[in-house]
Amino acid sequence: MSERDQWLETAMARYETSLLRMCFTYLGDVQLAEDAVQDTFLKAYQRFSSYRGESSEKTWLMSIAINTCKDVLRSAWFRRVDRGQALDGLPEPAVPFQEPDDTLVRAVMALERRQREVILLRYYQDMSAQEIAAALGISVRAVYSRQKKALDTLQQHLAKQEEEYAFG
Amino acid sequence: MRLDKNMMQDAIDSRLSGLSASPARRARIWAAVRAEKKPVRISKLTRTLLAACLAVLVLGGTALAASTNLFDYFSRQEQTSSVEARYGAVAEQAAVENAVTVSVETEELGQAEAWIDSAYYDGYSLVVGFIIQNSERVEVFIPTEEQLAQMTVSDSAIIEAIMPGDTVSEAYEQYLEAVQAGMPFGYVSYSVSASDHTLINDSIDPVPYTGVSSSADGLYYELREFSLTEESQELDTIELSIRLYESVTYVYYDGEVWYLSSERAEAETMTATVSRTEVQPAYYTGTGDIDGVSCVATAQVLPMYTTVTVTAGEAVFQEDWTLAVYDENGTALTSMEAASLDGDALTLTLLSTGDTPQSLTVYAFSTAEDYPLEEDIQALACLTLTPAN
Repeated sequence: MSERDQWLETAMARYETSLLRMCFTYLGDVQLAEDAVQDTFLKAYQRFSSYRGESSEKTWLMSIAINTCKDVLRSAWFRRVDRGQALDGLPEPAVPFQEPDDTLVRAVMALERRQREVILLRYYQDMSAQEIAAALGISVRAVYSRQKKALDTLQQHLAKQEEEYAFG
Repeated sequence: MRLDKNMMQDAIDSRLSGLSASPARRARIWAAVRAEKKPVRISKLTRTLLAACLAVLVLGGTALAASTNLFDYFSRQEQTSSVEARYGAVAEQAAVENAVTVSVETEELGQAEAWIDSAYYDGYSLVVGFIIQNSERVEVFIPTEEQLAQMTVSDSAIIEAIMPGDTVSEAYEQYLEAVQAGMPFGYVSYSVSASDHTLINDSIDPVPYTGVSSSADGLYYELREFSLTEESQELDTIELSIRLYESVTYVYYDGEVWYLSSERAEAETMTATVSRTEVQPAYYTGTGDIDGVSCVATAQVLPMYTTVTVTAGEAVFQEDWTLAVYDENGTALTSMEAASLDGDALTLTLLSTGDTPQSLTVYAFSTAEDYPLEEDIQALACLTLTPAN
């Protein structure tokens, strides 16, 4: 097996699940998320020889994933997808989820796209602001700006819930 | 309670636990990888072209006929994409000198020969084409117990991903039939392949940008395209080198489980010299309004790439804005990356079409919510660019 094949096998083991869940949260459609994950790994495989380690492997892969999702958003028919209904149509979870989890995920999926990107990379993929800036091709300042707007929006969304969230 | 990464991760992982890793998805990914490795268009090189290729044992600078290098070949295939269409435009300039045909002798393959067929370098772009003759052979392989003990257990997805380049061999077809019938069978692939790295002057390792490849009847041919860093933009000539590898891959299916073993060793290195082709970019300019703001647009058209910049008189562009560019025939130029914003200037690099346009029509728009439909884009105000004086 070539070095590139070995890398792909390892990358899928490491990132497949989190990539799929992030792409679904971004796109709001299971089939589109499946396509985005497949395209992400395929593009990463094709570009493997050009990866020179200037950024972490995760940053590099997430950059490909987000740009792949953006390409999907350019598809005309996608605009008709209702993200809320998509969440209801998911396969039965392995473990029953709690209501606050459902509320938070719906709130993230309802964020404006640029805010959603930052929240997913910052809070789900645990990337630093510098890594997010590199992945999205924007300034660190823009990352913080979008993060703040996203958190403000999430706070308004979640204000109706029984448990209160303090946002940092 | 604080919203932190643990809360977010727990919420998403809990709510979306129905979306998890699956062998079927990995198999599809490996199948997609395999599909990319397989030739998009499997064509047989004619005897004439093969003879012409073999005639490129250039030891003294004999020039190739314009219709017999890989640039011209790929540009003339059916379903030519934006990537290949440009290669025909530079086929005549894509000549190399001092191309050394190297031989890799193996007991199993006999003699494989490889050479750099053609290359194009203009300081902005580098595209290199090479051919490997007698690149692969597939035979039936049934391991002994001792040989099987040396192999590692694999899965069908990985096995599919490493399938031989030449899939029409009798041994491989027998293997596929056996697998489908759930019967034990195996094959061994002996191959000579090229490194993923193409060196410039033995020290510069440019980043591949795109490319095309194809294989048939033991011949493998590929064009590689590179983005150039500053150190490789001002050279008069380039010494190219691409390492070859000889590999042996054993695959065995026992009716339930796949076994895999592979070995690879460095072999000879293909080399050639390419001289810089002097190109004069074609420049275009135009003016217009976008969202009521006066804008100036410029374009630089090269054989491989077209770069368009729209500068607004005041702040109108945001980070999520991009450009759509069409030539006078309504053909959309393909972009392979996002537009970049620098102050009030929005710039996008696109693949050229292979023809020098008479004019360019440029639209600028936001993608904050959705990428607009084609008709919505063309309903916007636009800038028309014509050749600059």
